[in-house]
Amino acid sequence: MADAFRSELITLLPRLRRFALGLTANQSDADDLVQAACERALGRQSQWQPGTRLDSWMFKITQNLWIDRHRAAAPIDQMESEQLEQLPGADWQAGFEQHLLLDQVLGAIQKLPPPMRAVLVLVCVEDLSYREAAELLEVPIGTVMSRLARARTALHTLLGGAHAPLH
Amino acid sequence: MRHFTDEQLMAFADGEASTDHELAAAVQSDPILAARVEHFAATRRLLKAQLAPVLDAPVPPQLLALLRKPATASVLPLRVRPAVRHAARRRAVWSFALAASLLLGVGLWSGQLWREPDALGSALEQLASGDARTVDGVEIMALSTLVDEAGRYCREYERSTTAGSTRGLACRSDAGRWSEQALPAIAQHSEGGDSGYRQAAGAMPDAALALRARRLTPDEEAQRIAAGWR
Repeated sequence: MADAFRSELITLLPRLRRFALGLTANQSDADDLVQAACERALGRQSQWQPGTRLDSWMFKITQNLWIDRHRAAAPIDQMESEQLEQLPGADWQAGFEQHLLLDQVLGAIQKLPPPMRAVLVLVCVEDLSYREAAELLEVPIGTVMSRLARARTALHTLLGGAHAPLH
Repeated sequence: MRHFTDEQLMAFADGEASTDHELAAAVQSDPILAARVEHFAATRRLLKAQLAPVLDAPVPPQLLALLRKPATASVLPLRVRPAVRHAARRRAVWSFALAASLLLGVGLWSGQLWREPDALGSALEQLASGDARTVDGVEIMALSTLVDEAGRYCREYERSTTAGSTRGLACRSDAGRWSEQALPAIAQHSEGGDSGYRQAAGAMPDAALALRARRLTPDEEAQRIAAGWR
């Protein structure tokens, strides 16, 4: 029924906005992405099986839309995977600065290659298991783990590494 | 002694390695390993905490409007897609024609609305943002509430018929009368402009900026409505 579908989508909007923020690293682009994803969802309503998880379906639509758009134009300060590997090693004894601002975190996310961002948000924020994330993103579980580990290591370095004492 | 990879330590931090007792024991006894596990846990906590506020934030009216539209409507809310992005900066492209047509649209049908003089006023007086009411085949949906520096309330709304939808803005006088506003000169900006003005996704020029007003949260708005806008 059209009404039930729409009202369930409305209920999902906050989580979709949060997911989109993790992908785009700014709220304005995030809301634009969520709107596009909802339009696509409304157009493809007949493809969704009632009784299956609408949130997974929407995350998938959002992620695919974003990947398509992001291929069109990548921000200049986004690092390639190889560059991330070359960041100075994280000091594992150091902690995060106490009062990180959202802007700093989003700025760090923005430096991560796109394939890393979805796993980051799905696992660390939406609490999906590695297996669930792998199924949603249609990649092997090893890929999820590899991207996730590198993303978190890079985040730690970008956000905390600069303040680590010298060895 | 087994060498543990980052991925294994991460899996342990995420509760995905519960059967690896050797790993658990190593983490217990080795402070370096423990610190690495903790940093994976810390990144998880950090991301969750930093992104959590979005869950409680008010949902932008255009998102609600898109999903609340009746299934039979033929027109989706207008939305300008941002153009190709440059480097780290995002700008929406506005065309003067689009902005002008929005202004004209407001002017043209507002005259028609005054045949039902109280329909808009009573709707804006009572409807929460995202809710709609139909009067004589015309659906009015409230989208947002703003308050300017003088304490004047204004509301963005959308008016829909089977022919299509238009957006409008009306402000409330002290006497309780809602009257339509045309926005002051709309900021035009393009890829080449360097005003730095960033337009949130939406069909209308940003009323909050144009009116020097701020948008109310759903709670604040509910209080205003309940208090009769006093």
